[in-house]
Amino acid sequence: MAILECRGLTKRYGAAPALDAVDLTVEPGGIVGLLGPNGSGKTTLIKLANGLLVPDSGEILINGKKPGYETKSIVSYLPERPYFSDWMRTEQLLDMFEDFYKDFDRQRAEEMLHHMNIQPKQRIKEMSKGMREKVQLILVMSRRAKLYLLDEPIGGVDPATRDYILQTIISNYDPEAAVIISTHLISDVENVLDDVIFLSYGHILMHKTVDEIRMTEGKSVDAVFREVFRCL
Amino acid sequence: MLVKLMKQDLRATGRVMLPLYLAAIVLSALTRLMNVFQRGALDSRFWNIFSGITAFLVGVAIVALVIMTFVMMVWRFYKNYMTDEGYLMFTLPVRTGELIFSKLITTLFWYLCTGVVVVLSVLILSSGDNTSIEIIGVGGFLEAFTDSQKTGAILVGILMVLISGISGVLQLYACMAIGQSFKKNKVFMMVVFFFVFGIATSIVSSIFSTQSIVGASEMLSEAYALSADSVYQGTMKVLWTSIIVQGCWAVVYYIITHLMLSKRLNLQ
Repeated sequence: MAILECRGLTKRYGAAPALDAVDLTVEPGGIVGLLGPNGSGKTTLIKLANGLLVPDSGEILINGKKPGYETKSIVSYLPERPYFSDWMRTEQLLDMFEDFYKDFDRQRAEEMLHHMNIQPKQRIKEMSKGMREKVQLILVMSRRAKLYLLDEPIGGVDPATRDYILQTIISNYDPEAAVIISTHLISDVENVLDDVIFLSYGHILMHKTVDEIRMTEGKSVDAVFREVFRCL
Repeated sequence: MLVKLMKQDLRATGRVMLPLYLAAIVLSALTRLMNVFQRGALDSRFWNIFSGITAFLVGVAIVALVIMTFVMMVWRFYKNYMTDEGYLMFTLPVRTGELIFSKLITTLFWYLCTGVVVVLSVLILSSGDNTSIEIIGVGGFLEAFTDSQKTGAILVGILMVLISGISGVLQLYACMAIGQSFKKNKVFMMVVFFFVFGIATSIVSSIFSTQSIVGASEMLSEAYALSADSVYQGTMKVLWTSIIVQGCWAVVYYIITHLMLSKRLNLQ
């Protein structure tokens, strides 16, 4: 069964559609790049999958079910912006994730936080932007989820932090799970991707494996992306 | 999961409310001590000024408490569910009803605590005097009732305050839940619906309240005398009507909030 399925999925903000009758199927077991320029509908698709937005028409299914109580326990979501209360301490966030998510591996999260030299008593407001994003990613990737939805996980952080974030994703996800990474920084993520989806103005332009693109086009995903979106 | 959500809410709100409670009680105790010193002091002018300042601060602390409880209630719901924090809260594996009840129960808990602290502050300020009993008393008209009638009227009165409180809180939640569903001007729409619901609630409630008061008056005139029994029955009728009306509003506002957060969530 597909872990994520969209059928005629449409979402509008005002007159212009953010997603226009999108049909998409993502199977478990792989890292998928959801690639497109700003405003192409990447965040909208991820929010719809999390039930944070409601489709205007069509449907989106997670493991065969509409987003809701059952799907939330198998989806691990990293939003594009920090979502923790800034007064909270790292250890309080660990307590919270342990309370709500049965699949949360606290020991793994503590090891990663220790590796990053982030103290348990440290408050979110005392951290830099990059450090906050790392804490958020560590918590999200310390779950044994079936679907990881990572919205711009490397946007706005320095190259060293990008490497750490990508390494954290690769080394922590369950091979039977699916990871969807939304980004417009193609060259940074290209090496970790199995599949790519090109999204433009709410339409899917391409959905192929990375190997398929390299074989048929004879170029890197980044080069194909630049070529495709230069004309639009 | 409800208990776990409440744990988070109490932790988030307690860090603001508990220092305020402590400040109100400490200031009340200080003011009371000033009054005691003032009576035996030689330089009463200094103590007059000092006790005046502390009494003023107690008043400010008590008013701040009541305002903060209300502000915390609205702000916590808005910040935790309608802003970026909502990305976490609405992706937790919990039901929409649990999200609403967690905030509702936490709010009622802090209202109760605020009430207790205000009464405690008044008792501390007036310890040894009889004024406190008059301030926090339930009114002289209860004196005509028998003991069982007094108990009944007080219990039903407390129930009415509780149901009205629940209804009021859910009304605010419903306004915010509807406002967030709009694509633009979300906060403005929350304010608009606050007034719309406020007017609708006032009109319907006043129709029922008027009928119950008229009914109670007829009951009294039929009795041809203001006997304790007829006053009691009239009071109970007004109270129960208010409980039923407010209870119905609470159910309506809960359903609206639940529907908007589960079917029309719009965290852009």
